Amino acid sequence: MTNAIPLEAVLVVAGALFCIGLFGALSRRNMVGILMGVELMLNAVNINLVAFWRYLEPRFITGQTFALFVIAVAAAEAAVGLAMIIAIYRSWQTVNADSVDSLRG
Amino acid sequence: MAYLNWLIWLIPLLPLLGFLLNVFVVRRERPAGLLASGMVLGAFVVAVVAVIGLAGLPAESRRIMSTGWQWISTGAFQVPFGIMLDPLTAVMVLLVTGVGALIHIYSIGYMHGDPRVVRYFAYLNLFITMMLFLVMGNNLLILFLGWEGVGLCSFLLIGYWFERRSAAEAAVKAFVVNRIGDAAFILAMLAIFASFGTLNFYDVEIGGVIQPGFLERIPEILGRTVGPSWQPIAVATGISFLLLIGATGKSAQFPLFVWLPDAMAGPTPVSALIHAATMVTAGVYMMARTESLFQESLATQSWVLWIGALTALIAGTAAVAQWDIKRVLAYSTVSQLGFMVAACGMGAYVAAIFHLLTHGLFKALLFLGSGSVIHGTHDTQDMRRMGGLRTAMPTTFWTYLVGAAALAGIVPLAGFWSKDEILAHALSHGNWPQLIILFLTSLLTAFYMGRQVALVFYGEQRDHSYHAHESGRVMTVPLLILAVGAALGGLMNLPFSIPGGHWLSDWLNPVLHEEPGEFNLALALLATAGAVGMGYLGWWVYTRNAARVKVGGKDPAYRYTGDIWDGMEEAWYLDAAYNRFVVAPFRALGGFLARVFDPQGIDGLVMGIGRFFTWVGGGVRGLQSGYVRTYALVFTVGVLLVLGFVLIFTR
Amino acid sequence: MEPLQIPPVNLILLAPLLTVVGWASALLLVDVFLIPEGKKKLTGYLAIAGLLVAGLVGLPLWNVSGSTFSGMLVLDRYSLSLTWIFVIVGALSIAMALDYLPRHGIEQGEFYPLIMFAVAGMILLAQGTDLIVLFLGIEALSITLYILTGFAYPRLTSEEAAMKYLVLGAFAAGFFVYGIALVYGATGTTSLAGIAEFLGRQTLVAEDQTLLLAGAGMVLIAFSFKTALVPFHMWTPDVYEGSPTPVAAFMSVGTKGAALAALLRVLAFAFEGVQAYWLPVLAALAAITMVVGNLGALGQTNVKRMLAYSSIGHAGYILLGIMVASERGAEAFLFYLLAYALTNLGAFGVVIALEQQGESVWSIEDFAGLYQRRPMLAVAMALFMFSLAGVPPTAGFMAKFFIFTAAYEGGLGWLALVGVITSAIAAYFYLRVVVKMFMQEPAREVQPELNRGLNADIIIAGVATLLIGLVPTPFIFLAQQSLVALGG
Repeated sequence: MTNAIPLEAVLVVAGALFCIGLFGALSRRNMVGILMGVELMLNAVNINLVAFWRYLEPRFITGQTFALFVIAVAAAEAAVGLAMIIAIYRSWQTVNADSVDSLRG
Repeated sequence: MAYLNWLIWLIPLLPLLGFLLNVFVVRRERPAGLLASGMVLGAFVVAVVAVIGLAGLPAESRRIMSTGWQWISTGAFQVPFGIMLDPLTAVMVLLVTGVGALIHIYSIGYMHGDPRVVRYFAYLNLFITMMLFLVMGNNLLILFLGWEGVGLCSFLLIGYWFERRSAAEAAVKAFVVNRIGDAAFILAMLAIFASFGTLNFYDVEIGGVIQPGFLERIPEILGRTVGPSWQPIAVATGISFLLLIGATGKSAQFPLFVWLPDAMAGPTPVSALIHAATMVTAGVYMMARTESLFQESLATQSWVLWIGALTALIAGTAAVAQWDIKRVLAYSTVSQLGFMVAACGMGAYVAAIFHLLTHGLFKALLFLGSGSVIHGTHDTQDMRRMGGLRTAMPTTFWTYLVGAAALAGIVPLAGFWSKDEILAHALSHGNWPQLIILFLTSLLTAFYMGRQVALVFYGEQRDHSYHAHESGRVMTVPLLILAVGAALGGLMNLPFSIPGGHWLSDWLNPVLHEEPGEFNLALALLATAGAVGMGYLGWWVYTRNAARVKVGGKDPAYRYTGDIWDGMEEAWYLDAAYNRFVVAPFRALGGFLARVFDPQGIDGLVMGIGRFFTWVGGGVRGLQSGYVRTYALVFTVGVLLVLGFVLIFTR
Repeated sequence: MEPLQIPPVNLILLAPLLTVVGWASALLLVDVFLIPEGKKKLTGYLAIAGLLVAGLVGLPLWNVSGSTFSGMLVLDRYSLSLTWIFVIVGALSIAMALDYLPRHGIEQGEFYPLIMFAVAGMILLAQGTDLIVLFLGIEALSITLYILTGFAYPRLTSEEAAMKYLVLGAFAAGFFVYGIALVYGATGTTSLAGIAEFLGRQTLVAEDQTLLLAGAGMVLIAFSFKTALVPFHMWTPDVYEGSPTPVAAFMSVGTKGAALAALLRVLAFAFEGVQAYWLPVLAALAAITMVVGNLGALGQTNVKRMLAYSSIGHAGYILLGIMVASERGAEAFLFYLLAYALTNLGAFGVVIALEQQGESVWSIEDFAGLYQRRPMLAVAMALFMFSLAGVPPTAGFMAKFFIFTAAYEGGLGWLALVGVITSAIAAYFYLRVVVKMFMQEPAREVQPELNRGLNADIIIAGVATLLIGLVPTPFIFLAQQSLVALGG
């Protein structure tokens, strides 16, 4: 498999995915959308990690392990984030990130 | 003389104790004043004992070093928390504690009934402590501790009557202007440490190890340069120039003198202590202490000389045209400091210190006298509302007359001898332009003092809304003591080869390595004649024309000089120029941007330069829109910049 | 594929970390099942005890050094001294919170274990020598802080702050892992020592060079975010203002310190070989951070925001010590961190004392005339302000002086110049607080509330601020000792 698809191709896909996530995080007003964008960024990195592991250093499991860590951390972050969005919705009656702007200056 | 090692610690620690007690324990006016005065008086007594002990040593070993503990100790970087007593420090300590004690006692009367007087005495004691650390520190870091400390106390004391808006503004102005000098001072310290690896003035032996002192290692940096190859700067020039900027801030020299006249918003004893006798002399002391460094840079020395001479003239002319009794003295202080700085620039450090000492005496006398006048006329400061006070306040009048004559340089009072020594040095070093400038300034000095004496004490009282009265004994006794000092201070350093004649020169010789100056009879006669003549002229003009002086009116001399007089009154518009070219543009931009970015209302204290930075800060805060997506966008831009730099420009 | 090898594990080296984690986990259960509602202060005291125990556990390890978990975690004096600083920071923050939480009606027992978990994350950052561990440390710290920021739940600003922190933090985490992945791709390892060895061993081909530099840049950015370097600082003022004040105090010194400590390791060991690339970037970041942080603070009338901007500015100064990458620089860094941490905790303590129930303004006007009403409190606050401004003889002055000399000697003279000038400007806004306290009549009736925890915090901070300024030598000595045998 490593011969059929060059590493560069995988990296480009991951990079593209990262940029899509970045764009999503920057352009969405909905806080859930922003969080989804961030999740996409993290998953793009997972593709990178696994690809590097598979193509470059298959003897050591660093890349794989790290991908697992990232997934776990992303899950924790999503849990806290979603809880927070619910809390904000309860008191602000909105999930629009731009409406939550009382702190500034 | 082992006892001196611990005795000298008492000198700064007694006022510190007074400060702590006044902050944390004392709550009532009377004990506060007595405690504060007693502590400073105690410090003075200790200082006298210590100096007598010092004088008992042979001349070349008159340097007591005492280290409290090793302040900083990290490998090569060693700074002891140490103080010292050598001839130069000794005279400064005596001046600070002696004049300080008198001013403390005077304050008991002057500040009587003030609601926050305990705090006043606490600040005053802290100030004395800091000033003592400044002059006693055996390294630059302690000197800087005192340097910042006196700046801070001065800030607190100028703004002491903070209900008056001008006082609060003057306090901030003083602090901001001083801060410019302080920044240069810090840079000078960094440069000295980088060049010499030490901040000690002299070699200190601690625990058998000798820590080097940079003043004894000046030859190491000779010939070394910094800066770009097309414009190399000698290290000695760089360091001494930074120190000079520091001194111009603290000693109120051109172009940073603008804070001192405004500082008169503080209580009058504060003006006497801080803005005449002690704090402002810190710059001169510092230049005298690091004299061997300054001497290695001709470039800096000529800057010092010119700055001093120009300051003397500018401030001298400004003093002529003031109406406020204290502002006359304030500009006069700036002018006399210019004399001292110019003396430093000529390499006549003994003359500078001599003038510093005599000036400390008679200027303190004049300020306290003016305070007595202000006190006796119920807070009148405008000389147009005074007149004829010599009958109502005889003690104040006679002592004031002594001070004024001493400042004007009338023989044989203190000011004559010290000023003459500076002029004689200018002559013997062939500094003709500066000699002429300084000579003219000394004529102006006599003139404005004659004018002031005439306006305040002669003629008829022009404003009868108050009943003038003499001040109490607690205020007049310090005046009398200072008057004796102002009259006899010249005995310290008579330019004659009689026993004890060059006492100050001989005493300072181990530190400043300077031979006594020559006495030039012709110059002395000329200066005396000029001083007497101009002093009389000033007195005569303003007693003859006393009837023309009206409250809120123009000066009689205005007829002859016209707009020039206005220029003098405004100190040649330096303040206005700062306002116009520095403050106003920033303020305009700030106002514009304040509307755009809507800050939460800017504090009234924010002025001038502060406004400018506030404006830039407003830009920072404008970006702080509250939208999280904006933040993310800024973040992304930052990412692009960093990655772009790393990947493209470092290729 | 080879069978998995379980590497030998030496848990002794992780004793302080494990103590904190274990204690916090146990405390969570104890709090729920044993400590009744309304007595939650007890949880706080237990948490402080746990942190102190963790600090004590570290004492016998002073002369021990070694690494474990295949070299992913290391115990050396550097990590140990940092552990102590973090433990003190955590304990003082909890002390501040003891009465703050009930007074503002947000007392929940889990607050205290959460602070402990955050401290554990910070210790992880100090001990980590592998990018994966550093990532875990940062996330452990961040996720607990997101919760703590939103802890004042019904208050809208608190939630807003938590949301902003979380969104931006997750955003930064994305860049962090991407950066690690790229570094991994270029060098085949995530261990700091491995990266350094790789860089020392061979010259990189062009593609790998690009990968490595981009990765290193992103890692740098992630740390800059945590440290609040401009332009990655935008969250700081909002989050500090919105979060409960003890949490803001904790963040202002803890997060910053931990992230910088880890950054020092990363830069000095892993990426030493590519110093030519990151040095100009960091220098530019430090310069604008010093400028923007201090200028941003100028116009603030909200003391909490002012302290937030001030903390940004201080991060710029601390960065100078890291950049120099010399013994002197690292010493100055540790010293500055300690001095700044104690001073800032003290200043926040005074802010908490003045914080009125149910309000969220923290106006500088509340300081007006404080000297008349509470002279001791005013003198303490003045001390902290002078220390932050760098006026001798306080700790802050010594710290600045060390940092600037280190920078000057390390060839970063122009940055030292920027530092001196910006700290001259900074004096202005710190002084404003002093002006308010000593030179104005009270604008409104503000009743400062002091209690045992706050008193302890302010007294400890005040004494330390003076002590470190007057007798810095032992602290410098400790900092020097901490750098002995500093290994990657």
